[in-house]
Amino acid sequence: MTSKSLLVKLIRDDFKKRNWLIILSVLVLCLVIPGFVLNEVQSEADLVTNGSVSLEAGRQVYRYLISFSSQRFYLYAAGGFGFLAAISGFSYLHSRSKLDFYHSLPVKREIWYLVQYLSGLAMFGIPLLAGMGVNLSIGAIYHFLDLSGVLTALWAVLVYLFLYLLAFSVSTLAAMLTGRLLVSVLLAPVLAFYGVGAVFLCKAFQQTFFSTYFELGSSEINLAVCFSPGYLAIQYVEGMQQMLRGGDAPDFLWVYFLAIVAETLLFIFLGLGLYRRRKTEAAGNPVVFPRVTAVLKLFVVTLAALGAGLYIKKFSYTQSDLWFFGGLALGVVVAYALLEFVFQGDLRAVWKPRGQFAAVAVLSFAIACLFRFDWFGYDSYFPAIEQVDSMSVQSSRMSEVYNQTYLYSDNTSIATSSQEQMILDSYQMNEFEPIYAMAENGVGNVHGSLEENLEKTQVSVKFNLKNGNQVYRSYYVDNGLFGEKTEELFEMDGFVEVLYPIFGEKEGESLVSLEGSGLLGEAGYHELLSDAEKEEFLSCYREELSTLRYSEIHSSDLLGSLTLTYEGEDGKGGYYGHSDVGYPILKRFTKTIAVLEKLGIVFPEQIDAEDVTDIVIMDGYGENEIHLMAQEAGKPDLVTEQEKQELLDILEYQDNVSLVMGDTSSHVYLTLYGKENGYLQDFCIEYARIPAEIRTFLEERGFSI
Amino acid sequence: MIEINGVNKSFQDVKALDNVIAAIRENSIFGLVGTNGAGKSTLLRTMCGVLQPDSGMVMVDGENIYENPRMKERVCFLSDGAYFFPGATAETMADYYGMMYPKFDKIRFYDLINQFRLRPDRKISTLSKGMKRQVLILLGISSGTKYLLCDETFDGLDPVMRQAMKSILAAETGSREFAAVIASHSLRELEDICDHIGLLHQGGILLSKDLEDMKFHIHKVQCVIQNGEMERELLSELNVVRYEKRGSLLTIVARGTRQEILMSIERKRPIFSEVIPLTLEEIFISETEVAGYDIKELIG
Repeated sequence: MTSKSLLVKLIRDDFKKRNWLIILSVLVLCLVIPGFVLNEVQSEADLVTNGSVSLEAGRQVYRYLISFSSQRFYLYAAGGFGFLAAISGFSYLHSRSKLDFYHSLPVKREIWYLVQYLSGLAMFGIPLLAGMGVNLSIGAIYHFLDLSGVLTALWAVLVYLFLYLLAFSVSTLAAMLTGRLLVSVLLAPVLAFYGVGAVFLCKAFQQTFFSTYFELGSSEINLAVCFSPGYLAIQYVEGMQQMLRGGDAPDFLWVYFLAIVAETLLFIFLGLGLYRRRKTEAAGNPVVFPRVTAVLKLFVVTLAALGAGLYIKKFSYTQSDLWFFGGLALGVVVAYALLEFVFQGDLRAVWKPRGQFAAVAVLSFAIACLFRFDWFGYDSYFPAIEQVDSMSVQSSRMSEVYNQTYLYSDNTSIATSSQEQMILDSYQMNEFEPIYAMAENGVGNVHGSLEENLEKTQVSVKFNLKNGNQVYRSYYVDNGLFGEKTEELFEMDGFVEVLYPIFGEKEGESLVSLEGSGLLGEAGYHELLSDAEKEEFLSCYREELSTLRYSEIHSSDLLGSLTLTYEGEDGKGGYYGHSDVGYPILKRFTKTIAVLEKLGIVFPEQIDAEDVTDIVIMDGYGENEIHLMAQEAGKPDLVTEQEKQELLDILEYQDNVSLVMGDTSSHVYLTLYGKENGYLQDFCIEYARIPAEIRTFLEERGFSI
Repeated sequence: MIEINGVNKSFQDVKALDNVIAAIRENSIFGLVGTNGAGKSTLLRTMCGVLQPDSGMVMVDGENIYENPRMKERVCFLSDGAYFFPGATAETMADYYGMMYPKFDKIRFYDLINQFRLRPDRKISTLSKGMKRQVLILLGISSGTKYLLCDETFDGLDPVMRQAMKSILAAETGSREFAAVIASHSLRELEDICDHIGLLHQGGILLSKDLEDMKFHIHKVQCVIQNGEMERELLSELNVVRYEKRGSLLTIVARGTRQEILMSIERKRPIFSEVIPLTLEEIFISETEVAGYDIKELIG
């Protein structure tokens, strides 16, 4: 009999033996999922009919539903069927009597291997295609189907076939490595997700034990993705979801797809190689290849133990080393015993391979100490100045502007998952001495306590080294040094321009509104700027903002802040908007102030006593509260108009309670109420700034801080 | 011919096969005997290509059988832990065997099934152990392979069925190019069917001899010789394996042809002499005692 005809017969025979899998596959892929699609499409069709959404928007939703919907039905189906098909197809490897039967037959192992792949692929692929056909028919009936929908469906089928093969080949690897069904069932998810678990645990350890740890955005995620077939599949599908919902294609999406294909092929050939080498007599052993047993124990138990130690430390009251190392020890014992029990099936045999237990315990503790005591010197890392090519720095105290989706630099947009990293990557200072000094101070503060760090300023720093490496760190810098060095940076050419997004422009995006926030709250709002208004405002403000000095941001020169709102087209027929909040308006920005006044945004420099009907003074504990104005008609005010005006004159924009930072133990709270709108604003100021007469008056009435 | 050339096989610390050398010729039935754990199943599994030897080779008709489908088509292995597909019937198993073995004779199979009054459409899982064995043996015989390896296959069969199966095997050997290897721990089971016996002990072939040859060259005689001196002379003349005297009756097991032994006895003018048939077990005891083993420890 030729190999080809035998192959076909064996596949047909497998269909008969595993018809339950075919039935399940047809049920899910041809009935359940298309049923869900039909339900959602009917709802969407109603919205289109009554004009709530456009037909194109409906079509977009339809394409999303039949391919990469957030319910992830197809992803779970591909993963689940891949697992079931592999485990059931190769279950004969775990039974001596079955193996004796199959391996005595005149069929090569490669043929048995190929039969499982081809029959499994057919059992999933044919219902998948048929089900997608049903989806397309639904789309045609409700007029949602177009060429784009067909192409999306075809792409989705291709992707899910590969995801099925990926799940199948990972599960096959698990079956090849083990000699017992239970062990292979447990090993399959470990192989699928171990990498991401390890990467995230490593990240958690770094966050917990390295005080200078800086969380990088996509690169760490990509690492986790590459080492985890299961996570790779999820990330790819999520990326496609984002794209179909109208977003940009995430970075590395095409790389993820290539990785899916490459890993699938790798696991297929690896599985075949293991099958060829697999000894028949290993059926019934927990792990087929003896060396793999030790490796598995090392990897699995170590990860579990480290996770246990960290978890127990995080949730303990003191979060001390005792809890950490105690939890780790407990994790080693329990995880090792569990794994050994799964392997041996006998509690009495659990502690027999003592050498392996000792090795696992030593490795776990070594890794724990590596992080806990920073054996590699992560926190103490500080390159010599000669090694540094350029640097960048980011701190929320440098620029109050936040909520940036994109940072503009040379007309490029950069989007990562970490805003701090985005800012650090967007520029570099070749004259970096002030930043270097901040970092040096930060290294010295590495072992500071939590209380000490509250009195410092947190900064993020990026070193661009001459050897091409990039190093990111987070430091706590002494406030005085921070202020001094930041002032130096602001005086350097171009620094202010990289700090504030207003100096760049994103193509397709335009400024649509301005909103001011001043001494008494909202200072005005202007929407839909004309081109002339935009041009005038931007040119004046850029000119004046470029002269900003750091000391001015928190000084009495600060008049208020501006929020700039942008809108843009996403290139797919949709729109997006974002606001940049916290642009400083200083008293000396006279041109800008004049332009804003024309647009109806006015920043008062002081508060008129006539506009204030009541001032309530309260201490920091909320125990003493005194109304300075009479609460009942006919009753006298507690202060004169002059005293009231003197009190209001000391108030500045940065006294706004939402802007005050640091130690407020010597502060009091003032709440102002006005004629027309009632509540005006809350302020928080040092008690010593209140005019002496008012302080005397307050103390006579029992007020204290 | 199946040639086993210096095959060694270990499972972790246990040496299951130790430099096994043997040959199974066509048109013969080879009996493989040994205690539990002697290595019978391991040897058979190696011979049919299920296990790969650590060293040495099993050649079937001149080719290594391991991962060689062309040679495996000539060998059918009937394992002691027989496997049937879930929900399978004799019919469906026959279809599967027919797919695997090109010479599978379905007509013969159904004839045999009817002969043994088995229902081909009945689920095998509902059959008794003995009936399952019958189905397995009939599948093996009908596979049309040149070699049939049976691992304690006759266990679970009643004496009548056992005899019937042996007859069929013997008939196969006579009618076509066919050889069978039957592994068992019981010499009595193999006695009336095998032409060649191999004794396996602790992974090694202790003894491998043609049964007729063994029987031709060793005999058991009972005699009564009046003269004590002549008795002693007789014992020294013959190649005695062992002897026993009860009263005046002398029982001698000696090597040599029947004629030679009787002539020696006649010269001593016995009052009485008679050749007694030797069982296979007695032959083995004699042979293995020479090798320094107690057969009872070897075969139970």
